[in-house]
Amino acid sequence: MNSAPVVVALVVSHDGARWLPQVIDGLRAQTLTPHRIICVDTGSKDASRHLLADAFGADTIISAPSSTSFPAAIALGLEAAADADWLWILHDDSTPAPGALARLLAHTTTDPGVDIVGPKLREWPSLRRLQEVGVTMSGTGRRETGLERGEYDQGQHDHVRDVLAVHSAGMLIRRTVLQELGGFDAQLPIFGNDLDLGWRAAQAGFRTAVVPSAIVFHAEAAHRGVRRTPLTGRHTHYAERRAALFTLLANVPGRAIPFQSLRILVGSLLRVIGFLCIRAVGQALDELAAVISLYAHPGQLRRARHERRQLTAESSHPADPARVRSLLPPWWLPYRHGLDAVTDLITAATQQAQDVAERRRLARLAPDAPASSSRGGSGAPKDRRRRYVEADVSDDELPEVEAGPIARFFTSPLALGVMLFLLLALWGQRAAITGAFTDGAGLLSPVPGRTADWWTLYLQSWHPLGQGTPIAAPAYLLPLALLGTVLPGGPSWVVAAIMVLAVPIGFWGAWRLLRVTGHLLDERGMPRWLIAGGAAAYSLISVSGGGWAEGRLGLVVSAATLPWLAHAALGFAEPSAYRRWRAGWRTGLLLALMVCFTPLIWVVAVVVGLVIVGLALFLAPRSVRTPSAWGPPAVALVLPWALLTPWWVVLVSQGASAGLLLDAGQVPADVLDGADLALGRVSDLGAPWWLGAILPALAVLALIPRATRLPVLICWIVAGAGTLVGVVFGRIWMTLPTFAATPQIGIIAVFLQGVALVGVGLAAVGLLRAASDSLARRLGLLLVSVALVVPGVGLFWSVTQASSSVAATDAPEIPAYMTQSSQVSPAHGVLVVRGSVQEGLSYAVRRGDGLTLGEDEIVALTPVDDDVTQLITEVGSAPTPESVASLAEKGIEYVVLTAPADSAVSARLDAVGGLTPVSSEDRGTRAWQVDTEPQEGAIDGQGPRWRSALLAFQLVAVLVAVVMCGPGRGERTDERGGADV
Amino acid sequence: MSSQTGRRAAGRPGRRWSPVVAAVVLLPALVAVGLGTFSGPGDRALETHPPTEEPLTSVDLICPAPLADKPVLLLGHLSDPGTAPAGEVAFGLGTVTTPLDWAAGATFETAPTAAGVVTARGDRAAGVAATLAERTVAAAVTCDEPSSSQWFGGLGAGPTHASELELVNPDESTAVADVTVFGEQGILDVPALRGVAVPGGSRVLLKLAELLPQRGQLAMQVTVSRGRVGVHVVDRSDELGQGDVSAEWVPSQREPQLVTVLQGLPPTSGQHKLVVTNPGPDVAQVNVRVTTTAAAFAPAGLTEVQIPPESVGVITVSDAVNTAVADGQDSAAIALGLLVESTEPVAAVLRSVTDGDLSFSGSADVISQGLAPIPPSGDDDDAVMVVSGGVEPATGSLRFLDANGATVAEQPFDLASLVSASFPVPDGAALAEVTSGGVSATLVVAGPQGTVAVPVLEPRTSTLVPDVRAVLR
Repeated sequence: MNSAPVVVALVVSHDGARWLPQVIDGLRAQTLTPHRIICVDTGSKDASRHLLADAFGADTIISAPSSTSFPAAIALGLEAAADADWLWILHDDSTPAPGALARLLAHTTTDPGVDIVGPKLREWPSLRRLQEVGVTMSGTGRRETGLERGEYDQGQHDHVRDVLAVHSAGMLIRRTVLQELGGFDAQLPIFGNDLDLGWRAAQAGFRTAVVPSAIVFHAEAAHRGVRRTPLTGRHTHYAERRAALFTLLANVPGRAIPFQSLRILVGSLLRVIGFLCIRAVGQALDELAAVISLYAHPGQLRRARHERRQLTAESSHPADPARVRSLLPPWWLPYRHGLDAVTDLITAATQQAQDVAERRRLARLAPDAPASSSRGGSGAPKDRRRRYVEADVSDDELPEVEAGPIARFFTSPLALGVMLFLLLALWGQRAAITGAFTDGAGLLSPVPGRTADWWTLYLQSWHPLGQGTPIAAPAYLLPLALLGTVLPGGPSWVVAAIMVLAVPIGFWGAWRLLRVTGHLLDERGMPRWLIAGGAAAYSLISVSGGGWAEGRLGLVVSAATLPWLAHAALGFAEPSAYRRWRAGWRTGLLLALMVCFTPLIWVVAVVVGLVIVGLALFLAPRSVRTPSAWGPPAVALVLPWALLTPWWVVLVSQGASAGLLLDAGQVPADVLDGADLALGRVSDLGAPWWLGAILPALAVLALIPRATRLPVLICWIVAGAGTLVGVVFGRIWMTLPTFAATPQIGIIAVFLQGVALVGVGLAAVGLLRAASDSLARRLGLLLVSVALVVPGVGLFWSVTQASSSVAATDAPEIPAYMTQSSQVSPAHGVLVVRGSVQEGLSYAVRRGDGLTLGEDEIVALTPVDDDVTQLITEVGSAPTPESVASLAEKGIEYVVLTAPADSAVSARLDAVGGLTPVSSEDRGTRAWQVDTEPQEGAIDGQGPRWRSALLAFQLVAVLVAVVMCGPGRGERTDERGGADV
Repeated sequence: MSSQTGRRAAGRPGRRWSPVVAAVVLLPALVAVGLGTFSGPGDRALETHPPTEEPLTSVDLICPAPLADKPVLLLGHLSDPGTAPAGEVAFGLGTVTTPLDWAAGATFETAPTAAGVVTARGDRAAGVAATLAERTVAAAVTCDEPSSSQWFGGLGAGPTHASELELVNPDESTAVADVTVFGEQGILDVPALRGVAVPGGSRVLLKLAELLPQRGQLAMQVTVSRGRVGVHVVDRSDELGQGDVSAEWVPSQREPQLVTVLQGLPPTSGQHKLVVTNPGPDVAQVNVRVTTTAAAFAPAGLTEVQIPPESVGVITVSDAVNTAVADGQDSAAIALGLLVESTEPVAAVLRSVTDGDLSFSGSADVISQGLAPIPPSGDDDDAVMVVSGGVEPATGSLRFLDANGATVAEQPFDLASLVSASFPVPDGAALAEVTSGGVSATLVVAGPQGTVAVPVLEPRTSTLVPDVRAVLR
């Protein structure tokens, strides 16, 4: 090599006038000028041609139609540069740094064996972030750069190395090599052709290297969708993905084709799900379309592979396959990316809505504050921002950043205190761990043996209970069954877990709620010890109110969920409309969960919502009118009904609407009055009544401090709304088929205590933030000291009494052989009769393993079969062999007269033919077997067929709701916008 | 912001009653009033579920095996004279059942050969009564529906005084009876009498002398824990060496009582033993009075007796009864029975042996409409209906009917407290009907063969149909 090699720069342009001036400047500024510049313009409609002509002369321009692909354009350039040793390819959106060409060419001198060299690509316009330093392709067709997203160039990748491929922007390639390789593959018009070229080159024995000292800035106009051409189309993702998969399948070794094809299919389906999870529906469809398009045209792939085989065969020095393999990334890389993606999703999902207060404040401070934050402009923003920043590090973030988490934990009295509280609370609920609720307790029925029983009950539209019923299974079976499917121990673990974890989950939720509420009130937020005390007080409400020991599963779940719901609802105050909509879906989903267990909470939510909207209309009428203000709460209120159609639609259609007002579990015999609501008591199995009086009393006092009066007043308004619902619904008697019941207002008792707690907490913050020696602060301390009696005594009672207070179950004792027989089939029922002739007889037909959790509501709402009642009246008064045989036709195998059995009835049953006395558990109980074999199919029936459609709809609705609640791309843009402020 | 608000408010005292302040006062007040006045949904009327009454269409009356060779089963039914109620009546046990051709008439007679069940169906079922009597010996017993619990006293298990328990199961399936035996020293443990199985359609006879041979007075409670069993006890008095063997059915008592009226004193003197069973855990203090047509009086020489818990007490009342009976023959105050008053519920029966004849005076049920077929009596027999009121005065009427149901005589009565009355049975009477507001009555037939006392029962005319309702579990 005596003379300097001839380098021809090849600029391909298409509507690139936006970037070309800088590209031209970049070319002109090169320390080593190329011998010639050839511009290929593919039908630009903007000023591209003029710009290029002005810069390099009209004769350098090769015009091509707009349908010309990138490979075709390069081919045109190649033709025109027959004299070149090296071709330097540049895009119209890539501009080289001054020394780029010189350094690339210099490397070809120092390493003469190299055939293709590429520069380090940095983002344009940021100019500092790295884009690519060589590239390779993973087994799933992913373009692997080996860089973090948004990684800044600090020289950390500045070493020359062999790579599989380099980006075509800034690529310096031997003309002969490009000719020998046949140019870029025309099958890959825009995306991925550089990777393919590099891969082919490697297989043909050529070497590609990256020279990071040469820098090219690249705008990635096509990739980012900034520039659309007929070739990219509207679906950039589709084009990219198809190109990547094509490249992969065209270049992998032949023996790997079956595995790769399958892997791409499965991987793409997973990616589709992933895109759907972050609500990127367009990309999901693109992904799917790319795979389908690729697999629908196997001929293209066959041709491409044939060409590559020929190329390798004709190559003078074909590559060592091991060398090619070494240029590909390790096999595990795609799995790691998958794990990262899932982790990112979970992190984003759990952390959303954490900092509504901060975001509101930031939005107010922002110079271009959106209209929704009306109070933005006033005050001194800088000063506020400074205070906010100070506050941020002062309080609920742990200050000892340098210490490890374990050290921080053990040196924090608060963390230790919280841990001690939770451990003691768990100890208080030890009865649940030891299975006190498994066989039923109080209002909680025994749990079925397997989770499959719950699924069956939930999915079936006809249940073999009583004499058969089409009444829909209660809605809460779905969350229970889902939980049971996840937990190893099945239903008994589910109930135990709920009863044990209700306190910690309630504590956690209340902590989050109080933390955000405190921040909304005061920039510095609530002191953490106050948050902890408040959360502890709240978490014990369902225990000290007696709901826990009475086995009110619905109340326990809802009490633990309520603060989470309130926290989610605070998202309606988000400054960004996007986040408000997310909050709407999140609130709706949590509300749906609570409606499953305590449906009346929906009415409370509606009334509270109406009151708040009314207040907002009064205070800021304009802000309420925007759809993004009223829409999210509306979504939250409508969503439960959309999600729970298999439950309520069936109940309404079957005339069992009363079930819409019943809590999960058995219907309690006792009803609640105003004092119960005020004291948060739902049964006598709780702590002393005066414990419940403390928070309401303090909530009245909380109205006195003027500084926090308004927020406390809002709490009172919310409490008033809850009271209204409780007082109105608590007066109603609903007539169910076999008994009368009131709508269950227990959740309102919990709700009122919770609202009182928030009110007291807000007043306490206001007082405690006063000057250290002021009267207000001392009063605040006094208020808090009294309030702390609630968690203190509550915990003491819980530890000492709660587990021993668990109510007993009143399920009848049925001999074991009967329960075994009744599990053979639903037709082997046991007729359980109680009472006497004088006081009346009551009966129930026990089937399977008896009434288990989830079945109570169904039976309670099922109309009584009058024929069966008539038959049992006959059997109980003047039985005949015929009437006894009819029992078998009704699916009854045994008759049990519970202790003390009325001798008048038992004598009649003893006298009649067709009944054989059998042994019973105790002497007071009498039992007979019906001699006639029970008729199989006696209680078969057909529920509404359309319920399956509702179940399918529910599945879709739940998936959509979960996806809509989760973090999405909008959040990221939202955050980016926030970061730019 | 908060401090600004504070300053502003403090600076303008005229704005103290802003809407916020008004709300601060009003809201808690409203919530408090709302909760304070809310007293729940209001009580619902306590639901009761009384049974309904429907005409009886099926009844089983159980009769024991006859004692002697000429038994007669007497049936009586209240129906209009001359009518023939629809329905069938049969007698028998198990598979051996004979229909009775009782077409018309108020009474019917048949000669049973063994223990059996009178089954009445249809219109004949309501208000049918049956009595088994012996023509050759002084003995009779009321056939009754099976009962779940009955008390018997004055029993024995020795050579001269022995009782036999007869259990009859009218149904197909096996029934089980439990017998608790009380002795003078307390409850006796007799394993053979616990859970006695009575196969369907059969009769089981248990001889106490074989099961628990001993002297002394015994009592027993027979409860039926499974099925239905008709229970009868035959007591025999065997004056060893004298050849006088007398047998009689022991009247049953449904449950122990604080006040018991024993009816059917034999009109001649003899040995009288009052056997009182105290099943309770406390000592019972028992006082005995003689009831007469004039009053109830405490006989001289009889003091209060204490019966230990769960024991049988025997009070020899021969002198008192003999004196009272003798006195009654000369005065208007005829002795008709004994009044046993106790501090604890007791079961009582008077066992009398007069002229070699064994007879019992028992406690008859309080009836509002009783019916008793009148056993055939010889010319020398003296048949009377003894009616006793309780502590409260009682009125009523006694009607005697002939075999066709026509009234032979009708006698109203008006009884003062603790006073009894006796009415002679007129000739031609086949059926006695007692209508009252709460008396007990016993038909007493006394003659050369001895004395027979047949308590008058109230036949069932209706059945109770329970109120049946479905419940959840």
